[in-house]
Amino acid sequence: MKKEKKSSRPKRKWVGGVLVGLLSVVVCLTAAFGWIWFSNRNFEETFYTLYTSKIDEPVRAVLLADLHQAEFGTDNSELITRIAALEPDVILIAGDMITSGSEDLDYAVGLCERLMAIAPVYFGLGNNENETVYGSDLNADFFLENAGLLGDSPENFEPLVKDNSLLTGLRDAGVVIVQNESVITTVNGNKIEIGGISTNLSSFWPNSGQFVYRFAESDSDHFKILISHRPDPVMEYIAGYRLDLVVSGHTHGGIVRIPGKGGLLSTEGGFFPEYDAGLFESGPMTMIVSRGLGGHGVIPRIFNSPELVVIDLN
Amino acid sequence: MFFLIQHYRYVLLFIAALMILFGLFRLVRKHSETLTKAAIFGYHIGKGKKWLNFLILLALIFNCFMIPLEMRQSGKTEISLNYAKASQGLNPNGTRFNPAGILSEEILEKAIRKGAFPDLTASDLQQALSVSPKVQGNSYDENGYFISTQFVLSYQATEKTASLDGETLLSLTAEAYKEWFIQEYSENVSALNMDFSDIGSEDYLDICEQLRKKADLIKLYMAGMANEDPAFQSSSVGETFQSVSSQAKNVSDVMAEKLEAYLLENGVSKASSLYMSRLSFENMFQYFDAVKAHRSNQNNLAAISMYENDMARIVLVPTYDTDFQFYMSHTRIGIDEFAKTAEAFANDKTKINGEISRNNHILNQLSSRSYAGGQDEKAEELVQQTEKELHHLAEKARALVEEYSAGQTNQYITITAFPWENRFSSILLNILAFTFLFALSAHFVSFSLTAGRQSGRKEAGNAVQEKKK
Repeated sequence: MKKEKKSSRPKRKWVGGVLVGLLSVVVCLTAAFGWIWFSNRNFEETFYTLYTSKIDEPVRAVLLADLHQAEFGTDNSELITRIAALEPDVILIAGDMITSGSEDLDYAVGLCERLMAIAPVYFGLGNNENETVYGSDLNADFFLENAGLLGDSPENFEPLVKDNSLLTGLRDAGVVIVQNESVITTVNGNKIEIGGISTNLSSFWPNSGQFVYRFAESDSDHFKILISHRPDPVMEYIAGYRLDLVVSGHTHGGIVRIPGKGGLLSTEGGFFPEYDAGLFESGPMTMIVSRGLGGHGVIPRIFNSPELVVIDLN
Repeated sequence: MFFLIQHYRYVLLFIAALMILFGLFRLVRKHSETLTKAAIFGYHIGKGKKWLNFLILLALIFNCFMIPLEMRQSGKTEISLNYAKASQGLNPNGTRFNPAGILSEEILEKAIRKGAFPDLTASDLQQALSVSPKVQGNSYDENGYFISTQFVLSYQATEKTASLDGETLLSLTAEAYKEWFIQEYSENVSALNMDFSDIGSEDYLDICEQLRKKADLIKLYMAGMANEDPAFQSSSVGETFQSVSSQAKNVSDVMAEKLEAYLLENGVSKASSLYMSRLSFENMFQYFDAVKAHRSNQNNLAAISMYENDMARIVLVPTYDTDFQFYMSHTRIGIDEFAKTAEAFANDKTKINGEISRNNHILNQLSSRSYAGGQDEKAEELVQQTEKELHHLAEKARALVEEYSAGQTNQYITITAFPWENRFSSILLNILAFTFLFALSAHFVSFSLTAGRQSGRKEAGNAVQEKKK
C-alpha cells in the first residue's frame, strides 16, 4: 500500500502543474482579450483648437472617420448622444463609414440621417465606399482601364459609378458628398468652403490634383477645409497649398500603438506610418488625422482607443 | 472604488509590508540560525510553489489594469506666456498678470461647455485643478528673484471628475484660457472706426477740429504700434505702422490745415453770429483763467524773492547709486518748488493767451467778411475729401493691426501637453516594481512558513533522540 502511494505523488504533482499552467494561460488571455474588447468599444474624444483670422465667430466641427460599421451602443446611440452634447456646427466624415462587401448600406444612411438632425454633414468618400460605389479603390490602373468612360474630364467620376444606392441614400438623407468638388457654406456667419477627394498616391494626379489646385488657389478670404480620406497624397503632393485645414483618417492610428512611439502598422502595408494620427502642420496648412472609430481585419486595435475628433475654429 | 484606485499603490505597499512582518514574526519565533541558513539554500521559488506563482501572476494582471488607472488620475499641462511683458509679470496691456485667472469660474465654465460635461460644475473642476509657476523664485536674496512665464496646470482626480479623462480636462481648460486670453488682449481696433455722422451738423471750424483729432488718433495709434514692432510690414497692404502714422500726420497738417485756412480766409461759417458769440463767451472765461495764471505766477516769483536770501540754494546729500557707488545727490528744496510752480503758471498763461489770440483772429475774420452763412460748397468738398482720406487711412490701419495681431496674439500662449503615452515607461516600471515587491513578500512568507516547519520538525526529532538516550 505504501509503495502505491509513493508512486502516485509525482503524477499528481505533474497534473497539478499542468492545471495551474493552463489556468494561468486562460486568465492571461481572458484579461488581454477582455481589455482589448472593452477598449475597442469605448471611444475617446480628442479636442483640437485652431486659431485663424478667417473665422469671426467660433465654429465647432466634429470629425468621424473609419467607422467601418462599428456600433457604440444600440444603433450607435452613445455616439449620437455624445455628438449631440458636443453641439457641433458642422459634421465632417472622412470616409470608410462602411466596409466594402457589406450589403448593409442602411447603416451609413441611417447614421447620417441622425447626424443630419444635429448638424449639416459633409461626406468625403473612403476607399471602402469607393469599392462599393465604383467597384474599385480608384487607383491608377482602374482609371487607365476606364479612361474611355472618363473622356476629357478625369476628375468627374460619375460615369464610373456601378452601384449608386449608397450615394443616392446619403444624398436623400441631406448629406453633402464632396468628391472632387467643393461647396461654400455659411456657418455662424463665417464663410467656409468644404471640399473632398478620395484618390490615392497613384491616382491623385491627374484624377484629383487639378481640383485641389483650383480649390486652394481660389479666393482665400474664407476658411477652406479639405476632406481627404488618405493623409499621404496630401502631404506628398499638396503640402504647401493654401488650404486651411485638411481632415483625414484611413490609418486607424497605426492599429497597434506603441506608447511614446506611435502607430505600428500601416493600412497600406508596412510599419510605422508617418501620418498615423494627430495634428501635422505644413506651411499655411494644418492636417488633422483621426485614429478612426472602428476597424476591420484580424488585428485588433491595441493601445489605440477609437477616437472622435472635435475641432474648434476660433 | 475611486478610493481604491487613488490609493492602489499604497494598498499594495501595505499588503507587502504586512506579509514581510508576518514572515519576520514567524522566523523570529522559530529562530534557529543554522536551520534558517539551510532553509535559504534549500528554498526553490518554482518547486512546489505553483499556486503562489499563480497568485503573483494574478497580481501582475491586476497591476496592469490598476496602476495605469491610478497614474492616469493625475496629469500636467504647461502654459507658457510668450509676449514681452510676461517677463515683468504683466499682461500684454500692462496690467498685472494673475495665474489664478486660469482657474477662474468663467474659464472653467467655458472648459466644461466645450467638453460638454453636464454633470460637472466649475467648483468641481476647480477642486481637481491647481496652477503653480514652473520655476518658483524667492525673495530671500536678489539671485532668487524670478518672475515665471511658465505655469504648470496640474490635475488630480476627485470623486466627481474620476470618470472623466484628466488629459481632456487639462487640455480643455488650457485651451479655454488661451481663447479667453486672446480675446481679452488682442488689439481693440474699435478706436479706428471713423464715424462722421455726428459732426455734420457742427460748424465748419468745429468740423475741422474734429477731423484733425481723428487724424491725430490714427497717427498716435500707429505710432504706438510702431513702438511695439517697428519692422512689421503688412503682406496685404504693404504698409508699415510708421508709414500709416506719417500719412495720418499729413492729413492733419495739410488737409485739415487747408480747410481751416479756407474757412478763415473767407470767413466761412454755417451760423457766423452764433459762432462769434460762442467764441466771445469762451474768450471771457479764457481771460479769467489767464489772469488767474498770471497772479499765481506773480505770487510764486514774489515768494522766491522774499526767501531767496535766507534759503539754501543747493542741498547735497551723500548717497549710493544702484551699483553701490558713492555720490552727492542734489535734493530738491522749497525754493525749487516755488520756481517750478511759477514756471508752470507762466506756461499756462502763455497757452491761454495764445488761444484768446486765435479766437480773436477768428472773430476778426468772421466779422470782416461778408459771408452770408449756411453751407459752403468749397468747404463741403474739402470736408468730404478729408473724411474720405481718413476713412481710407483707418481701413489701412485696421487691416495692418489685424494682420499683426493675428500673428502676435495667437502666439501669446503656448500649451504643452504631456500625454500619458509619454509616461508609459514610468507606468511599466511601476507595474514591474510593485509586482516584484508583491512576489518578494509572498515568497518571504512562504519561506518563513517552510523554514518554520523544517526547524519544528528538526527540533522534535532532536527531542525524541535525547529521550531515547
